[in-house]
Amino acid sequence: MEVLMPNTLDEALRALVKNQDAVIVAGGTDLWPRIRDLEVRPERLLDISGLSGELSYIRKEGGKVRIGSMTTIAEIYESRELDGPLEVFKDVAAKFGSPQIRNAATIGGNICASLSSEDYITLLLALDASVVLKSVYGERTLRLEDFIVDKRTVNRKPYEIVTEVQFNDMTDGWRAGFEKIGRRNTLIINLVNVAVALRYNGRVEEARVALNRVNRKVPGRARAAEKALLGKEIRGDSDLEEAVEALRGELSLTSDFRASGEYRVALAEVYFKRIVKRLVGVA
Amino acid sequence: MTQETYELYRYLNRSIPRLDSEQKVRGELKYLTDVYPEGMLHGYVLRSTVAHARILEISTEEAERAPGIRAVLTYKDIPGINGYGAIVPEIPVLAYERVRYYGEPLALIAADSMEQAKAAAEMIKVRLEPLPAVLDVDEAMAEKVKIHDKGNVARHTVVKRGDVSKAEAQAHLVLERTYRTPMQKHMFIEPEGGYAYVDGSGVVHVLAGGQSPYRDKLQISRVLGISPEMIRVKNYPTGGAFGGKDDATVQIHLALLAYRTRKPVRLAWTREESGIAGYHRTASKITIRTAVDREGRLLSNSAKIVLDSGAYQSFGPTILDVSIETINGPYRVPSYLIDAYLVYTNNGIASAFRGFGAPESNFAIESMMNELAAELGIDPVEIRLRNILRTGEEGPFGNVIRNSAGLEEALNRARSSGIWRRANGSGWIKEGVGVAVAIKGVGFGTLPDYPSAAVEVIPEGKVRVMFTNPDYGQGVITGIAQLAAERLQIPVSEIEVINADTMHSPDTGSSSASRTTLTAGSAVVQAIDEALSKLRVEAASSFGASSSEVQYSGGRFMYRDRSVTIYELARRLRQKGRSLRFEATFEVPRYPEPVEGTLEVPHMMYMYGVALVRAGVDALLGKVNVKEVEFYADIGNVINPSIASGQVEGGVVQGLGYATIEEYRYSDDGRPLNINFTTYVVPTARDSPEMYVEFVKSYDELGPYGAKGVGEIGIIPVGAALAEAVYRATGKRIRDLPITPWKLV
Repeated sequence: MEVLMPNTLDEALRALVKNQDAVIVAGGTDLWPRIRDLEVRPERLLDISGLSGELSYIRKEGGKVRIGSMTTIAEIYESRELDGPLEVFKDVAAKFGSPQIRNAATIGGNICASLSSEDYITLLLALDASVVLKSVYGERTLRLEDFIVDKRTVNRKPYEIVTEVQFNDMTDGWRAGFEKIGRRNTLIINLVNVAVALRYNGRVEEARVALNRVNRKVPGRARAAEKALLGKEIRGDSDLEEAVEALRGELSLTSDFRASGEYRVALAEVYFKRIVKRLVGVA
Repeated sequence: MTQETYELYRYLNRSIPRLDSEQKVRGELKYLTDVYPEGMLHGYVLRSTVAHARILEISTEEAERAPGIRAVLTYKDIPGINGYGAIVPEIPVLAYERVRYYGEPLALIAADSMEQAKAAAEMIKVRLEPLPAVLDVDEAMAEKVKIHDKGNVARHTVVKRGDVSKAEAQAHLVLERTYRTPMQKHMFIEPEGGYAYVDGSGVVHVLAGGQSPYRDKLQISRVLGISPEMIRVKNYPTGGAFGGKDDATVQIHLALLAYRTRKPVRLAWTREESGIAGYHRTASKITIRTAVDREGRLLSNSAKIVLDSGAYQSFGPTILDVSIETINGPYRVPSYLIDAYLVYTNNGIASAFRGFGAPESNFAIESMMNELAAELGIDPVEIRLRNILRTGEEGPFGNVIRNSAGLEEALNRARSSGIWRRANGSGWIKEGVGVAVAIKGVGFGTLPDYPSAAVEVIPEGKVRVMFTNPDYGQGVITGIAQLAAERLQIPVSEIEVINADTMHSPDTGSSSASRTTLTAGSAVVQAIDEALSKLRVEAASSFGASSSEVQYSGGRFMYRDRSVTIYELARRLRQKGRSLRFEATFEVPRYPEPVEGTLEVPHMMYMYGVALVRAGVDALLGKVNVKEVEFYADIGNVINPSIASGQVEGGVVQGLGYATIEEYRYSDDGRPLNINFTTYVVPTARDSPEMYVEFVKSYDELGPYGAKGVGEIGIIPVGAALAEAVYRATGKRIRDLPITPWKLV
């Protein structure tokens, strides 16, 4: 196995053009166990840990929040930039793996893994985030929803590197909540995760709802539930019945040895309601 | 502990740091799987990928000719007996004629590299004729598919006293309930592994994680067909065991490969291999029918106990015995009828696991006590106080309760605990507090047990203490060193322990059944007495006095104004060519005969524990959040409070895992489903509740300095206490562990 270790983004992009079969390693927390278990046998790795100086940042500018793809989960957890409604990023980080994993895993790696277990995908979908991809030929920006294609499949050309995720700063009445539920409190693959972002001024003006499995095996937006929320004044559970009904139809939560699909759907409904009520300040 | 005992002892009742903790914290300690001997071969095990089959063919010719292959062994290559097992040697070392569980070893390979070993394994031609997998004990007992020719019941026994039907006829209330507990995996941090080599004089050295070096040695000798004297086993250090390394794991395979190749061989299971082929706790199905009078006093107890032994018996027969002994709790039970079965299935091999048989039966009897209390409207602590045996009373198995004051005090402490008032749920979170009591015998009951230990006085200023109960993380080395220091009245820093090595130490037996403090502690104290008595004579002769005139204190013998240290005496003995090594054998006190129908019931020494669990339950989701556990225990005199508390806390957390999120499972065709830390989850620090552990004042004159044991007591009552807390919170009785959220919604 050959390991390429560029020190700059330019070097990395040039190396990638020549070695389009290379598997990109960021934190390695997803890839390494798969190599060990012989699930994948890459001949060439492109280790981009040398780019962490360039690609590790959290910035707010021009109404946008930009997070460099090599930003680790630990850095997100400790960030001062992610305040106010953006504290929701820390709710994800707090239940993300163990300290060792949080120190190594990156937000870019999390979304590129494209699995229902990657909790930041769900949150970033609710924030309608975009992904910035760079290559020697230029740069393009894709909505995360279009970037995530299927389980372990993303919309990335073999010579591209994800350099950033970005989304609109949450001002103007926006608020967001996230919950992850697993069989224990940390270091656990979720049974369900739910992220909700709302713009609420007495009524729901805009709503985005994402879960770990919507209509397919990867996280997605629950559009019917979002639509059902629009215009609603939320005073209690009864105002959410329609949205819950819609949500139920969109989920593709299935049974495995961890839990039944039925229980996962029950979890999703309960947490969806709890998050929405919490966001609008209803008990 | 009280102030009084602090003043009495110099080195006991003290929380000194573990002697090996600094090395462990620094990552410097080399476990036996961290050793890669020079010129070693890589050992590899080819395993069955079906749960039940007839073996038609295992051909190794092609594999033997593959590059880098030094040995390929099947059952045909076993020089001695193809069988092992702690109680009955019926587990094939390598499969013969039949495969009875997924992961059963078919062939062993030693190769220059692991890649070569794995490549050769794929060249071994295996033809199996699949048979239906029997995974359920009821199905197994129906005997439609026979796992063994003799049938699927490995052991059946009935143990009884008095007239149960008469008692039930007179009872105010008779309740019958069925309780189940799941298989549990040990998930120790170091998977099974080690290395072996043959030295110039032909001795086979096996250094591997384990719990019983002398039993390993005996099992290896039978399989190799050579004298035990030609085998050395070392088990220290071992990275966790919890019973899962009590019976042989890699030891026999390692010995076979080293013996055949005459080269050092390393064999270490991967985590997944440990998940597939390692042992697990017996699953249980217990139907219990209990009769009480109006005041909640027990009149009779009937139980049908069925334990899933898996494909073979390892410790199964004794696990069944412990479950029998536990089913009557620490209670006055005038009549009982226990019908107990150990049943074969194709679910791997069940073996020892912390408290074996006790957590299983405890869940049944203690849940029953809680259900009875609720039915009768009696406080759950009160119903236990009305039924526990008091000192001097005869227990259900004919044993006189020598000392149960600790249990009564523990229950009184539990009753007055503030935890009962802290159960305050809000909104959709409901809270409850549950209680359960545990009793556990220390050691092997009525089985003869003669642990030996040795000490050696080193003139350079150390006393070497040698015993074989392995320290696999419990802190045994430290506790025994404290006992030795106390006996010798010298600082712990002058004690050097050689642990779990048959080359250095006589046979002290295994680390199991919470017996190490009693057995190694007592044998070491006796060996020290032996040393001091010999040295006293030597001192007296040098003083020109009689030995009765010589005083001993703080490592010195004194006569009038003269004194001599034990080290100076050792130097003189060495000059005279005399041995500086002193051995002693302790006879573990026991009843001469087991109760009819059992192998080892009852014990003479018991530990007691009372667990209080406060849990919150999310009423909509069924998610259980354990907030707080208080544990009151009688473990005799406490040698090292910090280590002892750690044992209880560790047991409690392991018990909470058992009761909530752990459950080792097989697919419908007998393939294990959760075999690593991703799929088999155990509680983390984040899942651990606030814990309070208190040891009530206790002293058992049969134990060294009044000490009993501690390792198993923590795990035993947790399941029943949690189930009661959940019942108090939600009104739902869970009678089958684990308490998964979907059972509560």
